[in-house]
Formats: sequence, structure tokens, C-alpha cells
Amino acid sequence: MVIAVAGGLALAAGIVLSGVYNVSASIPHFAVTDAILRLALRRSVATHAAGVETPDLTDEGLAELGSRHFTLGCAPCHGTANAEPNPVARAMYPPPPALHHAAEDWSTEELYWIIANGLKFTGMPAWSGVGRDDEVWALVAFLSRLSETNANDGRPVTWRETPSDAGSALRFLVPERNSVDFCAGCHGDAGAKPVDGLVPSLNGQRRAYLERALVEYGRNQRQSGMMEPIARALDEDERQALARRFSDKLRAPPENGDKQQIARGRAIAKAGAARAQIPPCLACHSERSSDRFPRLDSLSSDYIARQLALMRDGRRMGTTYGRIMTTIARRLSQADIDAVAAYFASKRETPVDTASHPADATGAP
Amino acid sequence: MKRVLERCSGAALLLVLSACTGEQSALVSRGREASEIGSLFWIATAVSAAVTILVIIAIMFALWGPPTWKDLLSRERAVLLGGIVLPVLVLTYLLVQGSTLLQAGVARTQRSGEPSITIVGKRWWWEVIYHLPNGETVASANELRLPVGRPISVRLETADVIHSFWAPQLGGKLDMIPGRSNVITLEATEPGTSRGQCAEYCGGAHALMAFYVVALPPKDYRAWLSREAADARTPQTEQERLGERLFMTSGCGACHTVRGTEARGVIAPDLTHVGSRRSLAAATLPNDEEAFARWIAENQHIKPENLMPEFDVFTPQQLEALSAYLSSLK
Ligand code: HEC
Ligand code: HEC
Ligand code: HEC
Ligand code: HEC
Ligand SMILES: [Cu+2]
Repeated sequence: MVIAVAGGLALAAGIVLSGVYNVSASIPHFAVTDAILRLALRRSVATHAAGVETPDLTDEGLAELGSRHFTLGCAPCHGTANAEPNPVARAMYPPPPALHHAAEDWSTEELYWIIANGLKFTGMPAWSGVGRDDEVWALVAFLSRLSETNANDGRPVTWRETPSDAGSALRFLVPERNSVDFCAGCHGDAGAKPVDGLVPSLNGQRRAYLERALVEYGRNQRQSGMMEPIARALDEDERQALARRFSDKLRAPPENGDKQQIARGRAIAKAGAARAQIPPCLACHSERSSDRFPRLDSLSSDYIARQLALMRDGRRMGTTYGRIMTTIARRLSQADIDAVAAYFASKRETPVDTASHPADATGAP
Repeated sequence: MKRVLERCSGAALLLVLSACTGEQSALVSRGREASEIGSLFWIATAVSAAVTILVIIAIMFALWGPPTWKDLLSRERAVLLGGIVLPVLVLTYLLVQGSTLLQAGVARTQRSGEPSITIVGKRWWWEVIYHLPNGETVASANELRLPVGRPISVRLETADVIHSFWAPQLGGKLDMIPGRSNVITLEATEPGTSRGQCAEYCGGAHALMAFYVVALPPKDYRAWLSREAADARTPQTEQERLGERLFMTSGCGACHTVRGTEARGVIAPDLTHVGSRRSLAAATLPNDEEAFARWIAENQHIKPENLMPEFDVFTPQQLEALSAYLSSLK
């Protein structure tokens, strides 16, 4: 008995140390090894995804935003319906599968877990910034939509056609990342709103603030799995040029929010709430304030509410500016957040681009 | 071992004695109430000492004294007199003495008719509001000024949790309780400066919630109060003007007021005349330009958990300008 165990150990050590085992990615596992590994992977994902809860994913924009990032960050490995994966990625072992049917193979919770954590020993990376797992749901929404549209008419949702798109999926992580059209694909521009409420409009934002934000994403001081790789690829001249280009544009038209919420938000913005130690927002976010503080009256209520919630949870504390605002965001209740978001989204202090959205520009205060 | 013990007790004694002098000593009084409390303290101490000595003598006689004494001490009358009558007399005397002291103050302010002062405890600083005879108010912070020889009634309130106001050289401790307004009378007896602090744990920066009391001759006090009531001085130099601009554009006015400017915040100390105070941030830092700069850029390291965010966003020149501006607000 003892001899048998010792012999087995010696054999194992011999195999490991001699280098007989071939780690070549070109030689597949035995079928039985593969089956065991697959089973282990499925079970592991199912177990670990147990605590995840899926939010509402019906929002069209969310899936579209996911498709934008998919083209940049996932398609080089996984490919899309109209573009094969990058040939380098195809030679990986295991090869990254096409994901048209991923939502049929996996539940939304499992997809979320796979994307947020990656898969060990496969080359599938974990994605999104530290504490930004919220961005992962855009990708889950996209993959869910992809399966549905495949089933219906075989045409997947992909990047909305913009001039810079052509062939971007074929380039490994380096599409043309410094063009206005590229940014506008997500952020919108004159005539097009941002692809989703979670993406801020850049038009009419202050130049110094835009530049600062790009530097902070690039230095990993502000977390976003979507913006960090994009910002890191820009050099100083490109940052300046893009910031100037967007800040020179007229801002998007206002939103129509709930009247009562707007009134409550206005009160907080103008006078604060001394009981809860909330200072008036307009003391820092007005035309007279430092140009390193952002304008809020060009942003959507969804974006404002998301950022305030992030700051309240301490997810935007990598810079002094972020910490200043975090101090204040921590004093806001969820009802306060919804109210100020509605107010700033309904307000436009500086000129608005009415020409391109005549229908939207109805009389909000 | 013995030497260690000696050293420890020596150190402990030093600590105890160091509290007997200095600007926050309860044994030095610069106020009528404090000196009355002081005499009450000495009377109570003397009476206790006398009682203790009496008891020790009685014990010694009971153990080793002549039989007649032992007999006397074991009588019922001795127990009645020493155990009931004497304590009742002593305690009644101390009670009467104590309550007249506490009441006397109120009567005095009513007679003097001086306008009152309201102090609001906040996490973790003091808002000090002077009521003028014409009904107007002047807001200041972290420093209480008093006219010598005038009893002033000070209303103690809180904006959040329980704090306790204690200026040992002027008077007793009194809690600031949510929803209530407690009144204490303070009368400075000599000009000078002393220190006080919050005496009830109120969270994070409680240990750094102190203040100064500055007693002035009445004429100087009135002159000071009319300066304090005025709007902020306009900046004179180029640097001060830059400082003012930075103050207004960086959002300091969201929380702070500088009267006569667009800074109208209500959740932080009034800075209209901050340059003329003895200290910064509730007696945490001295009041000089370097302290202003340090406070703005690293206040969370200096006074952890205080409610002002750190503004580590200025260049050294900008910080200098801001500090010059704030210092100039005399
Ligand atoms: C560096 C290449 C690479 C990138 C980039 C990448 N993946 Fe993967 N992905 C893989 C590999 C390899 C696997 C593992 C395949 C396996 O287990 O057989 C995988 C597996 C997956 C799976 C599980 C699929 C299945 O059915 O087993 C999902 C879902 C997935 N990736 C989504 C994404 C998303 C969304 C992105 C973009 C955020 C992304 N991946 C980016 C390489 C990549
Ligand atoms: C894949 C979609 C996408 C693309 C393409 C994209 N962005 Fe973004 N961008 C985002 C999202 C999402 C955010 C919000 C991130 C967050 O939560 O911090 C953002 C935030 C920003 C911000 C911060 C704005 C603010 O108000 O704080 C700037 C600046 C910015 N992007 C600039 C750019 C520029 C310049 C480009 C083009 C080079 C670009 N973005 C391309 C999705 C995108
Ligand atoms: C003391 C100044 C100050 C006050 C008061 C203030 N903010 Fe801010 N706010 C900032 C600074 C500085 C930033 C930039 C943070 C960063 O760059 O990470 C900011 C950023 C924001 C952002 C993110 C904008 C973007 O484009 O990503 C929102 C939303 C916001 N503030 C809302 C508010 C609201 C609502 C209030 C009032 C309750 C308020 N702020 C009060 C200083 C302030
Ligand atoms: C979010 C509100 C807020 C903002 C914005 C703010 N402060 Fe303060 N500040 C406070 C609070 C609260 C205190 C009291 C801190 C303490 O002592 O516990 C304080 C204290 C001070 C003090 C000491 C006052 C005294 O009476 O000793 C100075 C000086 C000061 N702040 C300057 C500034 C400057 C300059 C700025 C702008 C760069 C600024 N503050 C912005 C809240 C704020
Ligand atoms: Cu306290």
C-alpha cells in the first residue's frame, strides 16, 4: 500500500519535472479531460453566480452601449456576426467562442459573473474598472439582445454606423480612437443624443474639466472599464483637441422631468439643506465656478443619478476633486439624488442646441 | 521595581499638577462664577477633610483609646449624632451653598440687562452669535469675547448631537441638548484669554473641539463688537484680490459666509473676520498664514473626520494668495 502510493507520487513528480507533458496550445485535451474541465467550469460559474441579481435590462440604450464596448473590447477575440475574430485570438486554446448564442447557454447572472471575473486558464479576462461592475450589465444586455435578434432575423445589434466604424472590429484593440466620430458613437453629438443615459453628453462641457477627466481615466484614477482604455490611448494633443471640440459645441436640449421633483431639486441646488449639511450645488456648479468643476446642466438625469450614487459609495475617490464631491454626495439621500438629477437635467443655463432638436426643446424651467 | 513605581507616580503627579496651571486650569479663575465654584470647591474639600480626620480619630480611640472613650463611642447617642445629625447638617449646608451659587447668576444678568450671546455646538466647532441691543445678530465662531465685569447670559444650543460647553476659568460645565436651550451666566473678572472645550463625547473630532474666551475691558469690547458686526474688509493687494477670487470660484462659499460678498454658506464657520481670531478650526491650529494653507490642503490629516473636504487642488502660489486673503479678514 505504502509502496503503491510512493510509486504513484514518484511517477507524478517524474512527469512534471522531466517536461514530458506538452503544454502546446496547438494540441487539444483528450476528450475526457475536456469534458471534465467543461463540467467543472459550468458548475463553478453556476455556484458563484448564485448571489447575483439581474437589474432591469430592457433599456434599448443599455444594449446599444454594450454593443459599442463589445466592438472595442470583446469582438477582437470573440468576433461578431459580420466580422470574424482576430486571427491571433482564433489560435488561442481554448479558442474564444462566438457569442451569438451565449445568452441561451448561460443565464444573465452567469454571463454577468463570467464577464466581471473572467475565466481562469482560458485567456478570458475580467473586465471593468475597480468597483465598476455596474458597467458589466450593459454587456449582458447586449448579449441577451444578440441572441434574440439572431433568433428573429439573424441581424445582430451592433455599432450604429458612423464613418469611423468601418472594419474596427477587425483591429485588435486599436481602432481609430482619436476621432470625434468615434467618441460621438457613444457620447452623441449635435443631432444625436448619447447612446444611453449612463454616457454623459460632452457637448458644451468645460474644456478644462473634459481634459482632466481624460487624464484621470488614463492614469487609472477614475474608474470606468469603458473609458479607461480609450483615454489611455490618447496623447496630450489629442486630449486637448477633443476637449476643445466638444466644449465648443452647444449643449443637448433639456429633459422634461417630474415637476415636483424638479422643484425639490431646485431648492437643494440653490439653498442646500443645512439640516443634512448639504451645501447648495450651484455654489460650485455654476458659470462663475472654477473651470475644473463640471457643468451639470448638460447632463442627463440618469447619468447624474448614477454618478452621485457612485460617489456616495466611494467609487470616485481617486482624485482630490472626486473626494471633494464625495464628501457632499455622501450627505444626499436617494430621494435627494433623484430630485437634483431631475432638476439639473431640466435646466440649461447656457445656450442650447435647439436647431437640431426642435421637438425636444419644450419649456422646462 | 520600586524605582519604576516611584518614577510612575512622579510622572502621574506631574500630569495632575500640570492641569493646575495654564490657560485651561479649573483652579485659576478669571470669572465670577468660576471663583464662586472655586470657593465651593475649597469649602467642600475642607469639610470633607475635616470629616475624614474626625472619623480617623474616632476609629483610633475606638481601637486603642481609654475604656471611657470606648464606652462613650459605643453609645446610641454617638451613633445618632455622628451618623445622622452631622451628615444632614453638612450636606444641607453644601446643598444650600451650591444652589444659591447656581441661581445667583440668573438674577445678576436680569439686573445688568446686557444683551445675551447664543452658542450653538456643531460637529465639531462652535457657532457664536452676539445679540445686539437693536435686535440684530452678529455671527462668529470658535471664540467667545466677553466684557469684563458684566454678567452675560449665554444660551447654549446644539445643531446636532449633545455637546457640553466648558470654560473652566469662567464657570461650570453645561450640556447642549438637542431641542433645548440651556442658559449659563458668565462674568469675566479680569481681562485675559483662557481656553475651554467640549466636555461631552460627540463623535470623531470631539477631542479637537475647543475654543478661546477673550475677556476685554467694556470699552474695547464694544469697539470690537462694532468691528465684528461690519462687513468683511475689501482686499487691498493684488495677492489678496487673487485670494478672494479663488475663494469665490472654488466653492468655499457653498459652506462659508464672508459678509459683504457672494459667499453665503450656512453650514460652516463664518469667516467674515476669521483673521482676527486667536485660532483656527476650534482651537486646533494657530491663526497664521501657514496654518490657513495647511488647513485648506490637508485638514483631514490635521482634524480627522471634520466636515470640510480637503482642497488639495491649489498651486503653492494660489494657496499663499488664499491664505493672505483669509488672514486679511481682520
Ligand atoms: C483576450 C481575448 C478575450 C477577450 C478580450 C474577451 N474574451 Fe471572452 N472569452 C475568451 C476565452 C478564451 C474564453 C473561454 C472559452 C472557453 O472556455 O472555451 C471566453 C469566454 C467568454 C464567455 C463564455 C462563453 C462560453 O460559452 O463559454 C463569455 C460570455 C465571454 N467570454 C464574454 C466576453 C465579453 C463580454 C468580453 C468583452 C468585455 C470578452 N469576453 C472579452 C477570450 C476573450
Ligand atoms: C464605448 C462607449 C464610449 C466611447 C467610444 C467613448 N466614451 Fe467617453 N464615456 C463613456 C462612458 C460610459 C462614460 C461614463 C464613465 C463613468 O461612469 O465614469 C464616459 C465618460 C467620458 C468622460 C467624462 C465626462 C464627465 O462628465 O465626467 C469624458 C471626458 C469622455 N468620456 C470622453 C470621451 C472621448 C474624448 C472619447 C473619444 C476619444 C470617448 N469618451 C469615447 C463611454 C464612451
Ligand atoms: C464644494 C464644491 C461642490 C459642491 C457644493 C457640489 N459639487 Fe458636485 N462636484 C464638485 C467637483 C469638484 C466635482 C468634480 C469631481 C471629479 O472630477 O471627480 C463635482 C462633480 C459632480 C458631478 C459629476 C459630474 C460629471 O460630469 O461626472 C455631479 C453629478 C455633481 N457634482 C453633482 C452635485 C450636486 C447634485 C450638488 C449639490 C447637492 C453638488 N454637486 C455640489 C464640487 C462640488
Ligand atoms: C462642504 C463644506 C465646506 C467647504 C466647501 C469648505 N469648507 Fe471650510 N470648513 C467647513 C467646516 C464644516 C469647517 C469647520 C471644521 C471644524 O473645525 O471642525 C470649516 C473650517 C474652515 C476654516 C477654519 C474656520 C475657523 O473658524 O477656524 C477655514 C479657514 C476654512 N474652512 C476655509 C475654507 C476654504 C478656503 C474653502 C474653499 C477652498 C473651504 N473652507 C471650503 C466646511 C467647508
Ligand atoms: Cu464633543
